[in-house]
Amino acid sequence: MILPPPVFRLGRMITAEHLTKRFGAKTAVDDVSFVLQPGTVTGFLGPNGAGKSTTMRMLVGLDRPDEGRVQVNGRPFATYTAPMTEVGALLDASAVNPRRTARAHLRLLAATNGISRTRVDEVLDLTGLSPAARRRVGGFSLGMRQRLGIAASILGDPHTILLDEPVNGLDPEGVLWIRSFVRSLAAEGRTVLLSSHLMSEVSQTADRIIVLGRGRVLADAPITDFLESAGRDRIRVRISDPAPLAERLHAEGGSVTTLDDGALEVEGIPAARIARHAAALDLDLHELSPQRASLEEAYLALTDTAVEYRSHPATAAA
Amino acid sequence: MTSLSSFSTPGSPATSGAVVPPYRSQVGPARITFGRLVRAETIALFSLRSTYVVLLIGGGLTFAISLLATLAFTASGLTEAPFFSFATIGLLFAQIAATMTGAGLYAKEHSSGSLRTQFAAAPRRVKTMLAKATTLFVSVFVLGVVLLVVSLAASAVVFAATGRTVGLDAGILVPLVLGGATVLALTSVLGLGVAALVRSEALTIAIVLVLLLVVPVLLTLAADQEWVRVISELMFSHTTATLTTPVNVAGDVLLRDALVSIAWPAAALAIGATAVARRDA
Repeated sequence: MILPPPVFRLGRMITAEHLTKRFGAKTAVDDVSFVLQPGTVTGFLGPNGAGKSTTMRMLVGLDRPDEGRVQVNGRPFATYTAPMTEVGALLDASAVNPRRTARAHLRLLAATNGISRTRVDEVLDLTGLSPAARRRVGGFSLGMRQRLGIAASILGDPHTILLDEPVNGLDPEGVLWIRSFVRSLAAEGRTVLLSSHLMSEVSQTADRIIVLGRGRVLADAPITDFLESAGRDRIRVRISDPAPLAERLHAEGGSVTTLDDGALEVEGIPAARIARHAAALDLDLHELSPQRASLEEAYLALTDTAVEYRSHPATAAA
Repeated sequence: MTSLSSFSTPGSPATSGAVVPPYRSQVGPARITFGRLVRAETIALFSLRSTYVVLLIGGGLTFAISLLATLAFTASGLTEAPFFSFATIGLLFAQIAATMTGAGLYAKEHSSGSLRTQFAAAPRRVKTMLAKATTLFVSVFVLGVVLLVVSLAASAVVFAATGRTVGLDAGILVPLVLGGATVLALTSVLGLGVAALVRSEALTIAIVLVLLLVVPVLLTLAADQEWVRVISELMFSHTTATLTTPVNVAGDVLLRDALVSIAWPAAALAIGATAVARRDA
């Protein structure tokens, strides 16, 4: 399934090869392979327990794979002399000592790689945390912790950035900021891996998506290809008299559904053909619009059998 | 509907067919060195209020007990003991503080998750553990020297004020101060090593206290056995006692006890660092 990277790509890549991670009897990540391309935002999707966070931890060497390996531009991450300039990661916004100030947290991380204090102030500014730099992290909201984690991830100005659920807890302004920030990182030629449960976020930000389910890669494709392959292209039709058209389309083998607002949703017949039928019936056509599968629909269709923790509809009375 | 299982296609809208120039970090010359890791650990240690609180309480208690013992002695009218013998009387409290500091430098960072962030920035874990140990050893040693000098000075002042002789013999005082400070520094590294292994601050403190206080008492119950006597002499509490009172001790005994005192934290650190390097962060 893994595809060899095209040779004309010059940027720095992360390659995961046959990663497998077991926790006791449970296989959290099962033979996962992918390539993260420079200049690309890759959305990392999957139900809870699919193995996304474990995979991301393996990318930076925090978890050791039982099988397989990760290469950052052809070398193991740990062999770099300045790892923070290679890969920056926000894996858990709460992974900070709450009794330490934001500035001290960033200063100690920067000190490990010999990054200047000026850069610490820069990333505090960039993430809007300067006014809170001297406050202890324990008093931060989740959104502020996310910003601190993002500040830490870009401290070394790395070419690859891994963000695990970065918009959790962010206010709308923060979400918008993350979206444009992530796109600007990719525009600079950086590699971005963005894990999120928010489909709208991924669909607006990512170029490519990798979907995990029960520890395995279910899909790895450009987002447009992924949506196309989800199929179920439908056409929404609003017309002066839906009944005769529905009857005719049905007779021709199309699947026709009448929606709540009186419009028809047609599958299996091209739009031009529908228009011709409408004209033949002398009906006024008010709308004829293709409806593509949303990322959410495509994702749910793909992961339907890969959900490990499934909720059930709530009942009013026990 | 098209099946999506094992769906994979090459390229992406942003990159298909495009030549993407490699992004290079603009932060200037960055590089992990051991010195920089030590600097980072120094920031980690002294950016927490709890470090100051623990060291202040441990040092304060040690000083207070030393002073109270000196005052009690001078008030009793006895004249036998030299003034410097009181400086290390309360050193156990400083040792407990050193243990807590060492344990905290690993366990607090582990339990808060901060250690994961640190290991993502500096993935060579054994090097990071050695940097922690170096930071602890130097910091606690320096503070130990200050504590012992202040305690000695206080005892000397009390002795002088009560008309007793204060013999300022550098051949005795310097080894006592350096020995006492070294014991505190070694204890902190012992705490770090145990904490790296058990990953719990409370459990680490309990284990070190058992090692310092309980095991020696248990061993005295069977002191008539030769092998028990040998083990007793190799216990951390026994060998470090020689270093804190290095007066009239034979050179070979001093050397042996110094080496054994170093071996305890060195072994704990080696085992702890190996465990940290092998398991998931």
